[in-house]
Amino acid sequence: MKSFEQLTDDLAPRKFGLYGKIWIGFLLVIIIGAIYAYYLQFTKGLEITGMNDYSLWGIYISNFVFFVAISLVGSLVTAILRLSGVNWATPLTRISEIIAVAAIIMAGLTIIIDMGRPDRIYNLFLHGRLQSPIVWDVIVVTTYLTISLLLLFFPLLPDFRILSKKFKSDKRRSKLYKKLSLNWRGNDKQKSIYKWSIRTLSVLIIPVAFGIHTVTAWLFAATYRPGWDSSNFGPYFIAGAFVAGTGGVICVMYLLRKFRHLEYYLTDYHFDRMAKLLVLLILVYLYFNVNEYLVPALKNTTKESEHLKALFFGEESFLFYAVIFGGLIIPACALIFKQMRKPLPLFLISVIVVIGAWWKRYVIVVPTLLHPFLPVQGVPKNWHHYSPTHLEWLITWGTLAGAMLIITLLVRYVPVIPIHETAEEKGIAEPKNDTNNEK
Amino acid sequence: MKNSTIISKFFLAILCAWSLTFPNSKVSAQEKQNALISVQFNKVNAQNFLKISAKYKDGKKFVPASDLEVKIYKIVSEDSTALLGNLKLAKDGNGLFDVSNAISKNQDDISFNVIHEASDKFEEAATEVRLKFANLTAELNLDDKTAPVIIATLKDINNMPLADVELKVRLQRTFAPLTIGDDTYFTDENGTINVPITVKMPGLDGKLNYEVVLDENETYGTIKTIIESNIGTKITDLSTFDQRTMWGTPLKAPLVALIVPNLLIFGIWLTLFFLIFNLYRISKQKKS
Repeated sequence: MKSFEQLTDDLAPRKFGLYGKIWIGFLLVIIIGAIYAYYLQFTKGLEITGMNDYSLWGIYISNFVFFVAISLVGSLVTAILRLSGVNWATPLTRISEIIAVAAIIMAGLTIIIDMGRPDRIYNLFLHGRLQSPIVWDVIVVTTYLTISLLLLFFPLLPDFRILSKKFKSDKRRSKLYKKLSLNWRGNDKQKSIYKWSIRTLSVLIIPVAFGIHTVTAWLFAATYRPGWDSSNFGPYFIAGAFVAGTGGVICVMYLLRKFRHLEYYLTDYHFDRMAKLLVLLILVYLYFNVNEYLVPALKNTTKESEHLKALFFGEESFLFYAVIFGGLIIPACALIFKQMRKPLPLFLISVIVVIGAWWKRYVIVVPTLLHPFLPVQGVPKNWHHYSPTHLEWLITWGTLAGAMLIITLLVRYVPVIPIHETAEEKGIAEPKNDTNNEK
Repeated sequence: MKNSTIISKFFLAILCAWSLTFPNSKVSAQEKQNALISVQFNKVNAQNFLKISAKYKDGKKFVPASDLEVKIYKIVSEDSTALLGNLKLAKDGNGLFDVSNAISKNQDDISFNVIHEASDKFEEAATEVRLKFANLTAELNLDDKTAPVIIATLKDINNMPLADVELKVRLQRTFAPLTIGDDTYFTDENGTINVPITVKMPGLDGKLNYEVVLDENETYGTIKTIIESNIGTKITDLSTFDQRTMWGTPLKAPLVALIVPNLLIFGIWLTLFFLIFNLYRISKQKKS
């Protein structure tokens, strides 16, 4: 068994090596490009995008739904698994919370990016109607972000204290961690408040997480359009969100394990468990997909059939089958085999699942807008289709890079696996003199 | 020397040409227009007024003589007139002038003269209107159980019925009236028309206003009599503007949509503020 010092050495944040610096540089280049593209959009308006009167939501909204979806993993791993007493998930809690925070920040930003006149956002607060799902979305995104930040910060308090001691030689860094630890000394009163707060947050985040994605689903379902007019949309979105989030956590897990050499903490067992969880979630999501497509196909109303024909046999069919088979069915089948649940194959499968999850949101958002109840008539031919512009893609890539940069920076400055919790779980005692001597 | 003479002659020619054309163009710009004034006598219930309109020809088309000022005279005798007042026409070249005070009871006929005195833009113009007075009465007869009937009678000032005169019966509504029954009806030997209202029409609180019109008659002008009735089908107000609805304004949201979300928001954020306060409490637990 490792000693507390070894544990701290393994899990404490480290400076980036060459690959890390190249990675940050790469992300910054994309972000700077995206900022320039957004400057053009801000000055010229949404005309620089491929959106028009019919496809009034494009890849920005698909991206927003993807971010909201992936942020739900915070509640799954940190809250649902924690409250269910699933101990193997402990090393994954920090990773999932980091992903949740990064994703929800970018989700909020993406909505503002999608606005033609973001300078008028104050009108939403002045004249917003509590009957509107848009207002619910704003409220629930803000609430979820606050809870996610708290759920990330509370478990970090003991770890910050540990880091403050570890980096004694680096006074500035030690002082910063000490301040961030909020005078954590691990006394009974502090522990009591700390545990109560984490438990409360774990309970609170579940309904809010369900709320955030249900409300996002209602943004679509409350609109009477083919493909969206469904009472199934809330649970359908939540099931899909858990798939995307779990895939995201597995990807980050693998990369951290590889580059931070965390094989002792993120074992094959963790990957195997996450793979099985992913299969279960994919199967649930596929069940909702069957509901979502089979029932309207059986009813075969004129407009629904037009929409479904475009998905099953028309111009969207390649994308549709790619996300259903490539992003869900094939990964689920592959993960039945034990060899595929090993870290590398699982990582590759998860990357495909996450990419599939992004395009799944595109398949949900865009084709419906191109098949409205009122026929598309008397408009230019290109209005019958939606193809995002290069600038639109650049801005979207910028938001994805932004989320990855937040994750990267958090990985750089906070322990990606909870030191204090891991030590407690493994029965590794923290040297007492360290705490008692501290004044 | 020869060159300078040619140049000076050339400039002189240009100067002459310019001096000849410029005053001409100024003259043509100042050329006055001939306004065409038309006057129509209108009588609506007890109110009498002149409907005056004026236009002028600009190229090939007529355009309204906007802001034209006219004087209205009542012709008392062949060589005597009385000024009733001035009127400035609107931008569309139309105007109404009330002449109710100029008309005395039992007067058989009357003449008006509308004159525009020469102005910067228009030449002097005048027009005269002569008309005879007539009385158009109308009432709604509800005795017939099959359908209400509008009975209108047209008589001259001596109470003699005017037969074979064209009348119109219309229902007043927004923008333009709706013709009731046939396009026109002709008065019988008693000066009367009977128009049954066979179709039930909707009205606010069941109120419907019908009008019987003698329209632009050469002898009597336009006479309109309005009948206010209560025979329409009452319109049910379907507006939900004053109700609490999901599509209402922020303050008119249904109570449940106000109370439940606000309770949830309040409950969750209260807990969150307490949790943030817990961070402060932790920071203050310095000594074990």
